[in-house]
Amino acid sequence: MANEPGRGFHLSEDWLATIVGLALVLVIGFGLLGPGAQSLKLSAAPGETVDGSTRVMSGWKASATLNGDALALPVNIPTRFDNQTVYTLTCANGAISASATQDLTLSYPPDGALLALNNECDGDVVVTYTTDPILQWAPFGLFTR
Amino acid sequence: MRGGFWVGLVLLIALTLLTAEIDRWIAASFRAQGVASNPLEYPLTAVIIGLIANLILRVLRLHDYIRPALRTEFFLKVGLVLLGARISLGDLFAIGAGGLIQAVIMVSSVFMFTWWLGGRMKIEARTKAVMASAVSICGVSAAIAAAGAVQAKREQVTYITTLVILTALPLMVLMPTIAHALGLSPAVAGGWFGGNIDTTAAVVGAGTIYGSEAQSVAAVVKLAQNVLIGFVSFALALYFSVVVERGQGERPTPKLIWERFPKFVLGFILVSVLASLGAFSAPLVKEVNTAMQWLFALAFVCIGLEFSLTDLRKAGWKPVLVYMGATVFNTLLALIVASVIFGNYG
Repeated sequence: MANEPGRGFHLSEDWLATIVGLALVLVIGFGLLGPGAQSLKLSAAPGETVDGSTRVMSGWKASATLNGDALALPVNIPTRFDNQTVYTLTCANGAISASATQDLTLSYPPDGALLALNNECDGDVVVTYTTDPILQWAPFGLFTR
Repeated sequence: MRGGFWVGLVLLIALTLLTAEIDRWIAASFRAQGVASNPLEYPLTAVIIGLIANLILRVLRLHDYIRPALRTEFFLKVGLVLLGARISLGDLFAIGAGGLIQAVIMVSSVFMFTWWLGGRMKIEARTKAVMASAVSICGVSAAIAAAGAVQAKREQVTYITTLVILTALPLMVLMPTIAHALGLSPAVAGGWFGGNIDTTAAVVGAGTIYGSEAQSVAAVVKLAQNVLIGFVSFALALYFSVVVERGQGERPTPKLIWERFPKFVLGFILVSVLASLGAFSAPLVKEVNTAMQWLFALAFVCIGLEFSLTDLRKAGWKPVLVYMGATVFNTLLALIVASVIFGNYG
């Protein structure tokens, strides 16, 4: 798969492929064409309910604390947010539970979802959602099943 | 022609999207019948769609117009650079070392056998050199590199490259089937595909059909073979200068080895080194992997679109017999060598 030597200055197909390949890794890795790294932090005092809007995408990573101590998250904790959906996280008896409902009567940001944190626990609860900066472009996934 | 490139590129992307949709539909149909994995993986679907589009474009006399966009080798090379993200340096050394040993054995044996058989069938020396390089190293690119080294005619190259594609396509589908029947491990199957199938695209295709591990091994083994192009080109140029032209031709210098070296392999190694150093997160590797599958799919569609039998009809049947004989020899030898080298891998 080598190339004919060029005349004068000529970037061979091999070098071009190398540069494009490395550029693709950079573009995907640093999310240069995508929305970039996302984060959402919700803090709720005991008895308080707070909410925030979030971008519709997958690959979210969640963590939570109760009075500064790490809280275990349920297996159904959402890691993908769909359009026009409200995701509710409830802290009760020192544990987090999660549910999702589609409510078309609410107003959402464009291409967005809502995340609500309902704190019925005794201490302050902080839930943090983050995504990697990597580009997640839906058509990329067509060949992965 | 610039317009043709962009129109062709849009067409290529559309055909690749169509491949993905049809592939998903085929997979769903198999799942509905209780077959968990799709036996008709996307490389075959992509080539068939490319062939159908090829036929339609030729009937409409539009094939030449979109030809500038058919960059099979380029898409493949970019995809192979990205493959580095999935292969750690340890694996690269393990597979690469085995691959290099296999490449030296295969390239020298298959080259000599093809040269000998071509001599017995009285094939012209330049055709013989281009064919022996194509069948023993990596198909189209090796044919082009060898043609440059021995100053073969353009018709000789197009003839051999048509033979390469014509042989590689059935092998891409048949070899994974035979490997399944023989119960080969993914590493041995990958080594076999990489050592035998002539074009890198079809090697990746066969590996993809067999599974992810086979795809990695097949690609690395083929890359190991690719890096020998420079050495073979140099040896051929020297042989033609000293023996065939009896000192009348220009003597090649060792610089030729670097000129013919497939530089994208360096990109592949660099990405592999970065991956081994932990520069890439798991989600990044996943996204890079899907981008790679896209590039490979574009290359497979291009193979179907580029295929032509016109050049084959012009040159007669003798070289076809030699090529087929060399391919059978290559297939059997590669199976033995891959079984020995990759039998204990993994």
